[in-house]
Amino acid sequence: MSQRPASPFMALLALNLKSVFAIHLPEKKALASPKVLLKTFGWILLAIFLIADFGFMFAMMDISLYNALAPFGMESLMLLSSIVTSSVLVFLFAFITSLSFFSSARYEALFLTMPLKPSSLLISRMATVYAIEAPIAFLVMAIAAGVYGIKSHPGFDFYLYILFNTLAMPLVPLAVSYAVLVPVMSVSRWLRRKNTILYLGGFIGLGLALGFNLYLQTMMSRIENPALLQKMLSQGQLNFADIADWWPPAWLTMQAIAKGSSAVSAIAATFTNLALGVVLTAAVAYLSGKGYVKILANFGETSATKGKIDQTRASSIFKSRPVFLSLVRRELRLMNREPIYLLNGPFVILLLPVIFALTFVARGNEMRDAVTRLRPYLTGQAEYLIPAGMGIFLATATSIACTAFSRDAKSLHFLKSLPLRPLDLIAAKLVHALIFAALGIALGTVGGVIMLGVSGLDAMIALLLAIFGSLALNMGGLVIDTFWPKLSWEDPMAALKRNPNTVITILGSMGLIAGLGVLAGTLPLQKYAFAFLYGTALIAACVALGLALFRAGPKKLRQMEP
Amino acid sequence: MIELRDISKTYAKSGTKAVDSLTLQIPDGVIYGFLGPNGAGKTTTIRVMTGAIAADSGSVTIDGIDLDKDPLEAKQRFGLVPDTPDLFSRLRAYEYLNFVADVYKVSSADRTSAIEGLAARFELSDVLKSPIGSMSRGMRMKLNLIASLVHTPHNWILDEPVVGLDPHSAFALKELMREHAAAGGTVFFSTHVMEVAERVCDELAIINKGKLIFTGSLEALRELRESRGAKAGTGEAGTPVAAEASTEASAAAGDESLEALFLALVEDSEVPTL
Repeated sequence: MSQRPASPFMALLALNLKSVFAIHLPEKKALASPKVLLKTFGWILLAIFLIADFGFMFAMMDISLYNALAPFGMESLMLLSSIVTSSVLVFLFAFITSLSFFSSARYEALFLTMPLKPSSLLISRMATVYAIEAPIAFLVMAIAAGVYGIKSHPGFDFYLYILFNTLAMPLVPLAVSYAVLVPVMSVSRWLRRKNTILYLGGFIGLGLALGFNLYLQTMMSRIENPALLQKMLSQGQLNFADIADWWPPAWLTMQAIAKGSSAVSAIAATFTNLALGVVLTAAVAYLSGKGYVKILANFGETSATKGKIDQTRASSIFKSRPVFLSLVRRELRLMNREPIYLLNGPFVILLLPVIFALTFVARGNEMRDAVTRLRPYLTGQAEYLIPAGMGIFLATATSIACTAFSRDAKSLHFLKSLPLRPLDLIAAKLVHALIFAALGIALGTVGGVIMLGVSGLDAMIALLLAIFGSLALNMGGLVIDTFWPKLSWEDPMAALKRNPNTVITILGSMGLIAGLGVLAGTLPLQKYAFAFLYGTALIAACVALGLALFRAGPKKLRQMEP
Repeated sequence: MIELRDISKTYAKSGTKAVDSLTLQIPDGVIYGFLGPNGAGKTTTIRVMTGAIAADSGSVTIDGIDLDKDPLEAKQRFGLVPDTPDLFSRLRAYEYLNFVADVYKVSSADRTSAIEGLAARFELSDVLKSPIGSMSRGMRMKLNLIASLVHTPHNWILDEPVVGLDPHSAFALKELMREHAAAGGTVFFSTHVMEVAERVCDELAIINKGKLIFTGSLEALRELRESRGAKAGTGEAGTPVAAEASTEASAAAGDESLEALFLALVEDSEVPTL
């Protein structure tokens, strides 16, 4: 008996979900290989670590807030805080994800030739966004329910209301995102470009992430200060309570689980929340379906712009340059002009100090106190180690070196057919990384020296350690990417953000900085003897890595096959 | 002149033997077509020939220079048009051409004259300042054609160059190929388009499943088909499968187009032997 085919909508939905959650677990047979086993174990560990990391952060915040509010009999406000946190996070993710999905509109436009309703196309896309939002809402709400459940012992119905309201939570943000994005993108050709979407999504995402970070920092500073919290409670100044008042899904969730709510009003609030989400989403899908299809059909309309080279300027444009300089310019242009590479690479050097500055704005007093309290300990090795560590971290955070060959996967065959010395190609990639490392050192180490008021000789040592440390780590990153490049990818994101070499190098940088601190505390050495020892070790590492890179690198490059 | 001696290449990841003991001599002054069905090993051969990937065994010499022993000098002597025109889409056309010209150490004056001449020929002068990513596939292919000739190489290697070209540019390309060969240079190109091969090629090589199944002129290919067709008619084929295939081949032999000859030859090469 032949199996009934899936409906076109379900087939489309399955395809969309599979292309987003493309997790290919190895088969049992493949796990016999130690390499595959180790890789799978590493990915699972990383996933657990990431979830546990966020889970721990939310759990600590919930526990602290519960303990701070319990003396005033207002512990249920902890749930309100989590509902608002979850709503804000889900909204951010819904908007950014909906926007980002438009970057693949050119591929999605292929579906326009198939017998699919416009609303089906949009609903299947919305369902994919929902599948991304929902786990975030569940993580935040499950932790809040767990903390509240352990401490307050509510009835079983409390968990049911949390479950159904959490299911409803991502729907309104989803509907609002598409209700805003479809008309806006329909009227602007500029917005219907992949580059615009990537830059816009990147900057909005960073802005919203920074805003969320500010919100968390502000919350933490209040939780840690009971007197301030009490004052704010008495004056009704808790802004998360304000958000809950005007954001219906949050308000309805709170009504459903509020202490003293009758079963009828709790069920009514939950039902209203679900109905509101479903009706709004369905209405947006129905009304915006045609607009969405038009965006897909007209996405990325580009034609080569007329750009004739003026005869009088031809000799200055077609100017001969040394091969090495040309290679470095190529590296810089290809990285800085690809939005994904720029935002997750060189831009990080500017972003991290901005996050730091924002933390200062949000928790200015505490940070100033911390620096004041830290100053007496800024003796001995710490005087030069802290600013050196800051510079080293920024100088390696760009992932330029550790993804250098992975990013070139698509043009590697062509590059290898050119009369280029492999050493020149490797050196150009290192110089590219070091240009931005210098900027990282300028911001991290020089900034740290100024902020911490470190004196002349210590500042000089910090600078030297930062230079050798960042050189060693960038060389190390390039060695890793020369020997184990990620050459098989379709999306540039995979070459940088989803490249294990990036994770290894960032963890290596953190490990080096942590090791530096541990050694400083354990080795019984004079202040400058330690600097000498550490400097010598870093120089030795640079020499060893340089030998590996420039001696074995060319052979590895010849063997590289995308 | 390009020589490949006993080249073999197996991809480590898939274990596929893409090229199997291939030996080829591409003389100066001819247009040499390299034909084969999808996955036959054409692009792999070109990649080995240009040093993009290393062969497991065998050697490549370009104008007598061993590619393995003196890669820089050997690579200086050819220009390559790769099969994927999507290189460096974030660069502007002139930036890409400048990069290639810098690598081949072409002087400012020489590159200006070469680029301007070729861009006019391929009608690309108006978009040289455009980002490559904004260009159509055909435009990008034309840009790669210009880049491959910017250093006026003796040997011109092209991997599927006619894909995406408009008729005018395809005509210009064929003319350029003829001029290049007439000036004593070597033109080696792979293609699926039999018509192009039939009209342009002086010599042919046909590859299937990594093995060379024919080398020679179109005339020699026709003669080979005729002689094989005659043998099939006398019932020399030993197995039913072979007999069937040979009958089809005989039928194809009546049609002397390159496409029919090519199909028959590929079919013959796939007949299992006892």
